[in-house]
Amino acid sequence: MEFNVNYDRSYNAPRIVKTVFDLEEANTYISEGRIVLFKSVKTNRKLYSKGYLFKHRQTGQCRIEQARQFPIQYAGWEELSEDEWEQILPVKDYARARTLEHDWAGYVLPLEPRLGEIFYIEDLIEDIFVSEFWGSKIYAVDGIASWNGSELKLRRDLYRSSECYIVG
Amino acid sequence: MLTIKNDRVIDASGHTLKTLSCPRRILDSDLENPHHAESRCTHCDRNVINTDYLTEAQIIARLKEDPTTCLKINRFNPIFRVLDQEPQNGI
Repeated sequence: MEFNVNYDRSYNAPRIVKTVFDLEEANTYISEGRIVLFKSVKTNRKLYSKGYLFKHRQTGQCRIEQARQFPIQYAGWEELSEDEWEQILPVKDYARARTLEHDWAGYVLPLEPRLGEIFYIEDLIEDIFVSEFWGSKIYAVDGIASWNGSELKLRRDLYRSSECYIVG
Repeated sequence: MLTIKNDRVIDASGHTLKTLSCPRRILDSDLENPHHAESRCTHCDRNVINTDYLTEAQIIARLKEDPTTCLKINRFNPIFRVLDQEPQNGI
């Protein structure tokens, strides 16, 4: 589940930092005088959901669940008995779609970034876990960052799990 | 589906079930058991109902019984549609 940062961009609209995954595209921006900040794409262990592949002993149908016993929203617990379901192998699932082609990407800054300028990053290179909803991982896709002259400093406080909640 | 607009929780026929009126921005750290179905708020001693555990019908019944019931609502809960939420983190 994708989390979009809760930040008012209509007021003093921040300029946009683009993300590139292609070296030729990065070089084109560099030749235009843009700063490109290259970063490694790293997976976040909190975005993995671990479980098991189970196979029904009679029908052969398979399903993936986190364990033999697992909670169901509004319905308590369900159990896959050993008599009916064979545990085939442990599996894991990564919440955010990622390519295996390369493990890097680049942030392209707008021309002449000012020290302390706030930017909107439309496609985060970082994989940030925000929260969960009934086992579904919620991850950030965009962000707000300030330029310190050499790096973009992400506003990590905008990814607190409480950002997913309204209490009142 | 329940709609949240201008701090009001509205049912499918357009009736306001509750106004979200907590003056504080409550975090999980303000709740005694933030991941339980109910949790005491350490600021005001009231119980906060975690709507992750309730069906739409259960939420409506609860609010009709007591519209001042405090709710914890996950924006990713498909029961809810959150509209016009004012950002609170602008610099």
